Amino acid sequence: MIKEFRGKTAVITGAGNGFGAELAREAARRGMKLLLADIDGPALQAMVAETRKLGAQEVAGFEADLSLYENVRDMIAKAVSLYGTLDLLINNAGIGFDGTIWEVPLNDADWMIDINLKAMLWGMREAIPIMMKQGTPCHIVNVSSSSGVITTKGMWVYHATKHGVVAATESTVYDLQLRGVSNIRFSLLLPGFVQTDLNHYNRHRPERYQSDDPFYASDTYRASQAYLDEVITHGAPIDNIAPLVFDAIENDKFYVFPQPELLAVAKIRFEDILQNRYPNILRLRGDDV
Amino acid sequence: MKEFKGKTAVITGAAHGFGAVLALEAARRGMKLLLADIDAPALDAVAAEARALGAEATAFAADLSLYENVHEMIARAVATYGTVDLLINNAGIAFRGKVWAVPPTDVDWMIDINLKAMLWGMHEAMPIMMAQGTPCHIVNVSSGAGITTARGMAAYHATKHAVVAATESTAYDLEEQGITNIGLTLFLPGYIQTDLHHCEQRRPARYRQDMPYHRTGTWRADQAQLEADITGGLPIDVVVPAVFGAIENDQFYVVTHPETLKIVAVRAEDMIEGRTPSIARLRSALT
Repeated sequence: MIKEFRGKTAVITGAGNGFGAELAREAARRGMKLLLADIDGPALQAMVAETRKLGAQEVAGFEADLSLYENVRDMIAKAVSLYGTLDLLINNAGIGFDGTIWEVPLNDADWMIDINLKAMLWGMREAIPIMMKQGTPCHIVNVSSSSGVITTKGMWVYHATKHGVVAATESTVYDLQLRGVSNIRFSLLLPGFVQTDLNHYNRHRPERYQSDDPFYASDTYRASQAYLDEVITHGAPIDNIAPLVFDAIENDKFYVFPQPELLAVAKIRFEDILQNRYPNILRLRGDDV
Repeated sequence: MKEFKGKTAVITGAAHGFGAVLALEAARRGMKLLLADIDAPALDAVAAEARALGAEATAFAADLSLYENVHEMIARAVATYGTVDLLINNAGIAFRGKVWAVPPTDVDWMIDINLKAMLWGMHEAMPIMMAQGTPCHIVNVSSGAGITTARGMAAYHATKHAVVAATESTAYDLEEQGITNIGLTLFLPGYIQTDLHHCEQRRPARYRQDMPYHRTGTWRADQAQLEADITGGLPIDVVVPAVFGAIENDQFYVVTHPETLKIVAVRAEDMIEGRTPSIARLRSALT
């Protein structure tokens, strides 16, 4: 639980756009020292310049593909070597797309698992020992999604990665409690569709996940891209994200639902499990989804 | 799926534990078996036992944490028997360990076999099952750890929750597209007397490297805890009726331990009430 931000170190992944950029701006306004990471070099450089103007005590950019463990490790090491501490880690970098499990090419699934799930596990792995050693108030925000606690059609691998992050974070909270480590607190951001630039994920595709699978020339693929554009550009405004996340950091809130109405869907899922019902899309939609 | 005789079953991790007892039950029901495992000698023994029960059985010894092998496994089943009617995605590993301590290589291994291999199995089998149009079923062996969270198993929880989420989403996709011939089941067991605590003996070479972590007291204690949990689990007899009952009756969630659902209820309340998970609250719910 961090109450004082000025002069503290924040590492923010996926800081070039969307949630990451919003959170970087807020961290800058609070006078933090920033290490901003993104695969998108130009967007990252623009954010470095902007956050400097907004009042960040210090800012550095770290352009890297965080789906590789070595890059996550180097990112955390760089923050410590630049600023001497690591106080806030915002694991935000991620991608999103939809499609069925029997159609989506598996290189896409690999990419999503590597960046949405593994990169967050690597970030926690690298940051927690440093934070434990400091013993000062620290916080880790893992940007999951409402898709990390509910399930619906078309997002099997997105759900897999986002549920994976929620589960690993909860388990880690228990581990720290049992060990009596109380200086590292966690928040899970669980938004629905928000006006980010998640729909432009393909612009940030590393070469090792490129594929010439015929699926990318299909109507199914084009329709899925159009759907993603639609839901993201018509999503909730992004303005409330930074205030909600910093409130969670200051007031030690674990689950952060920017769209609390999505909890109704989570309830249906928990009831399905508890009452042993086969998932049913009509039941899910009956509650306005 | 009500009729098993002459139908094709592909079962992964068939050399030991759940996979072995499910393979023998499938054999008793007169199914044609494609049995896959990384442990070739143990796999051959189960295949021989299945044949002794009167079944046709093919052993497919392979490391299913590689996509190519999952692809070939399903292709082999179709080439050998002409259909794929039942897929039991069972192969998996377990180890305890904290997110800040476990080597990334171990996490990679767990994600590849516990999560990706199951996704690949569905990816490969479903188009074949759709083309057949006959009653088919896929059982994904997740775990009680796929719907609950507890200490000491961040990576295991991540992979098992991920399988649950992907399977649920796929159930919605099938329903949405009007595909009714493929039933799905999530097997969500608590600790059962399998040989899960021996998975380390079958670690593929590509995940093996000299890691100081594996010489620590922490690692040894975690391994000992896992062994105690598995050997102290329920007898394995509960598995066959639970899983085949689910296949016959189109049951989606199969939970073996009542305390699993108690933890689900606590977790649901935590989320809905906006509470930080608390190990003390979790424990009091179980007593």
